[in-house]
Amino acid sequence: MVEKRGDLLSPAVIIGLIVVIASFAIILSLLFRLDLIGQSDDEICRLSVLSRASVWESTQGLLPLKCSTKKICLGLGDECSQFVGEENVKTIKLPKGNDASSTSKAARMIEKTSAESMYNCWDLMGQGKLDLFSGSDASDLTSTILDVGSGLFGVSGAKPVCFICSRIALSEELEKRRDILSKVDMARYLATEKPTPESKKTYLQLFTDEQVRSYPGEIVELVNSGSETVSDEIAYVFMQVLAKGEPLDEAVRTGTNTGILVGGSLFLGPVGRFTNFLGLGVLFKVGTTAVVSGLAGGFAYYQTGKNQDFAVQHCGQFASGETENGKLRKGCSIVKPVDYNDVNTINQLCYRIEGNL
Amino acid sequence: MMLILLISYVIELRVIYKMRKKGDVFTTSNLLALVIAAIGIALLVVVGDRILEKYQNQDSKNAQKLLDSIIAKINALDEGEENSFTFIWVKDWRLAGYNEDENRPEKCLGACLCICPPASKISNFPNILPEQISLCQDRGFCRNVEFDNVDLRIRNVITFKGENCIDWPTKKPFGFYGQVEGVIEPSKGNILEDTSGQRSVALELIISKNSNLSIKKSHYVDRKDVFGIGTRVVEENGKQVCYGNYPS
Repeated sequence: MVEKRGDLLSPAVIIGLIVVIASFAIILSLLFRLDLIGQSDDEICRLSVLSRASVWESTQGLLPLKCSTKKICLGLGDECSQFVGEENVKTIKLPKGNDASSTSKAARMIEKTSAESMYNCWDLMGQGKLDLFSGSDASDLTSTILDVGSGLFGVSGAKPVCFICSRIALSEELEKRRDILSKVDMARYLATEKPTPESKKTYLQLFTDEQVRSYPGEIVELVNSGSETVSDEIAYVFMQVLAKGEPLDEAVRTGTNTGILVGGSLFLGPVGRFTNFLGLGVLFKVGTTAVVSGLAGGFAYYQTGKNQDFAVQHCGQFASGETENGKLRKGCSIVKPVDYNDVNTINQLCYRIEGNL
Repeated sequence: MMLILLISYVIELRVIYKMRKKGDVFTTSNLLALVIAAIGIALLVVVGDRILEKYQNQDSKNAQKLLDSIIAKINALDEGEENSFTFIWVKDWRLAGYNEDENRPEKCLGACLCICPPASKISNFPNILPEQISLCQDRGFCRNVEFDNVDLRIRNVITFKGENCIDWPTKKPFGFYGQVEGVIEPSKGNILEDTSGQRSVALELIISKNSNLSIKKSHYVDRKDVFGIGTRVVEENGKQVCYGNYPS
């Protein structure tokens, strides 16, 4: 009778107890292991991006972006002093030879690293279509962005949030190799190469929702008129800014009419121009003009004399991030390279930076 | 997490079912199930708390990484060398320097650099405010450094139309030092003068070391906003260039 009622010392109870405790132990260990060991940094990041995108804006702040800045050193066998004292630095050794084949191969590796960094950043961050920063730091961020007053990118200043996806540094030895750096041609690489051999689309097609297969003539001309601005370290920055509402509809419509801004788009231009067009509250028709006219002052970070300042952006309604009213927010996302040593530009572009250093 | 919830839920359902069926509340098996359910809930709370804490500590971990990166860059410099570095700063954290002979957090054995949440008071030397020392001791991170003196301040760099003015004799960017503040933080400029409330996300620090350690935050100021510093704009190859200490 005692056994039937489940006495404390019955074998069934003891087995049940062991099973339950063992289950707890396994689940607990899985919870922590999955988080820390079982997944790559990219998977953890992607998971945190998706987690953020799938919760209400008011709870987003509880889920920080678990993404870490990738540190890539491009060298000829030497280290990058820029990363002294920093963890998880990936070093890519380029061919050192002076012959044409080696220098071309080295240049292609630089292009590949840059294109991959840009695409990886764009892809990890949900191709700019996810609302990731509405709820973070709600005390100052949400209120300041949404209370801009004059609507989209108002005069008093939208406050964009950034994540620095990657930092790419050139080693001291590589920095001196103009024969290699002068062969870097991001425009050609993006238009002709694919992220993987299996991929059917080029980077350019992926960035532009397949709309653009080659650059318009005016862009080619502007690419070739790069400035002499150089840097030994660039950062691919993901930036997102929210809009209050209706002005963006107008902006997207206006942009669509230009045939350039539909869904994702790729453009060239220095940060200053970009932030200007954000800051002045102009519509995209004007913004697009500013971007194009600003090309000549671009950022030739690989000393190529060509403008390498490609950025990819998405503006419109986000696919996630419902507000309490059940509406989806609108805004713009962009991935672009910036000179990491130019703190003014980074401060101009980003009001706040999230993620792990 | 969902599995734990499910297990707890199943156990509780079992208890309720048995209680209803037998009308007997305090049998040993029911009690055991209740205890297990309670353990499950407690574990749930603990795990939830751990996860939450892990997320909330992100800034703190970033601050620690930032300090370690600064220390590593100091160590990599040769004696007498000066170099500038870009750091992505952690919002609402400040770097505080302490000399051996001044009030400092107890965890500093001698001169040290700490990264800590900022004190609420504004002062000429915020690093030695008791509140700041206490914040550094309790919530900050400190690293001992072997220098006679630790000097943290601003270096104002003068610009003209977005370009740095050049010091004529040295051909380096022209500027002047701000007063010693003992801290470096992401305020836009000098702590006492900055009322904007705005914070930079990226800082350029100029680090130099000899027997003393000097860390200066670059603060870019347009030429027209600074009086009496003697810059001069000259025409060079059709371009206007701004010089400091230009020969008269």
